[in-house]
Amino acid sequence: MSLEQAEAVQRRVLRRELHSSRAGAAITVAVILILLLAALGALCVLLALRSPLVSGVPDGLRAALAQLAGSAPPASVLAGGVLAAILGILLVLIGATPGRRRRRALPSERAAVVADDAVIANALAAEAASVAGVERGQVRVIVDRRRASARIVPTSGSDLDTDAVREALGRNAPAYGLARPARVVVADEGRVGS
Amino acid sequence: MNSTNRALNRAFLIVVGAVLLAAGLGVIAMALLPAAAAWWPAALAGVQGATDRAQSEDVEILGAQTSWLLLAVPVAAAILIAVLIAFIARQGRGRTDEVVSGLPVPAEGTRGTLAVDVQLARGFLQEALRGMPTVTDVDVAAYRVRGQPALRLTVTPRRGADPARAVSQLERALAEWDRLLGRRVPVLVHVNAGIRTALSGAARAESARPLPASASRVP
Repeated sequence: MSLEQAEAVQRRVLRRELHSSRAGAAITVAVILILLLAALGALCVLLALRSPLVSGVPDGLRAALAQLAGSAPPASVLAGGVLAAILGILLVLIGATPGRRRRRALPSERAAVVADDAVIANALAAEAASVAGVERGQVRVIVDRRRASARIVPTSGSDLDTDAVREALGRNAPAYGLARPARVVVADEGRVGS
Repeated sequence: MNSTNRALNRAFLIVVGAVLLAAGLGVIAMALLPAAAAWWPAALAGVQGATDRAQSEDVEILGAQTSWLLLAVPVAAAILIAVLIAFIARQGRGRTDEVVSGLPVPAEGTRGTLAVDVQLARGFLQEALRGMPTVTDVDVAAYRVRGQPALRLTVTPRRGADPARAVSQLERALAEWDRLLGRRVPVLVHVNAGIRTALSGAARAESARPLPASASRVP
């Protein structure tokens, strides 16, 4: 395989890795359809065999279908319609939205690299805590698709060099696949005795 | 990394969703607007007539008279079920055991081809990354992507470790692997938050967007 081919494969794999395959939803819907089809098939076979088990089903179905356009349809008909419409919208949305996963691409010469956002958040939190000189428990990092933000609760009575934290986190941004440096917020209230 | 047909998955969901949505809207319209419901009894009667005609064209099977419709529907359902099962089975495929296959054997006068098992890659990379300060675990799997083998490395970093540093250590290990193998196989690296990181509660470092449960929150 040529280098170009290998890189084309890596680009494709990277793109796929950042988006959901929608396999879970597709399998769920397929299983439900299979069950419905199996029920329909079984019903027809039983009807063909004139089984007493299903003797009432055709008339019941007929009555239910006629009710759909009755002069005063029961509330359950309307509710069923609303439910079907909502489910339909949900499925269309699942099919049509990009389904980004909470991961991002990291730069690499050799491989396609993706990191979970939680990994990035952990690393930023550790870095921020060490530069700020606070416990890990005093830093809270949120990694979004577009940017990261760190919130630091300072230790009461000691100084916290916000700019140093900002610079340290900003240095990491490109290597962490962040388009912009992390926002750093220091809480007004310090924490006592930590 | 697998060969799941994603476009097919999405098309399937959109088609089923659109049908459900149309049916739902139809039922709502008929329940609320008498005008929309006007055609329904006639349509129902039409269907009734068609099924009645089908009922009258009986066929004899196993000595009993029955409607061909009652035989055709189960057959059609069985065919559709088979298609759906094939669709489900198609998901997530593409794993392979071979990192390299079909190479000519380098030794002279030897026939046959050479394949390299993914176990070799796994053992090599795990050994290379053992004791590294940034990485606790590496798993290696091989997939066929566009007919060619590719490696997938799932890396679990130590909590709070610098993922960029983990990646550069990994790149060095991969360079050695490339030298050993004598060719560059495409590689995907997934720096994975790991079960332990994902499941341990609290709220220090987290990624945005609410998740089911408190995944990706870390003490």
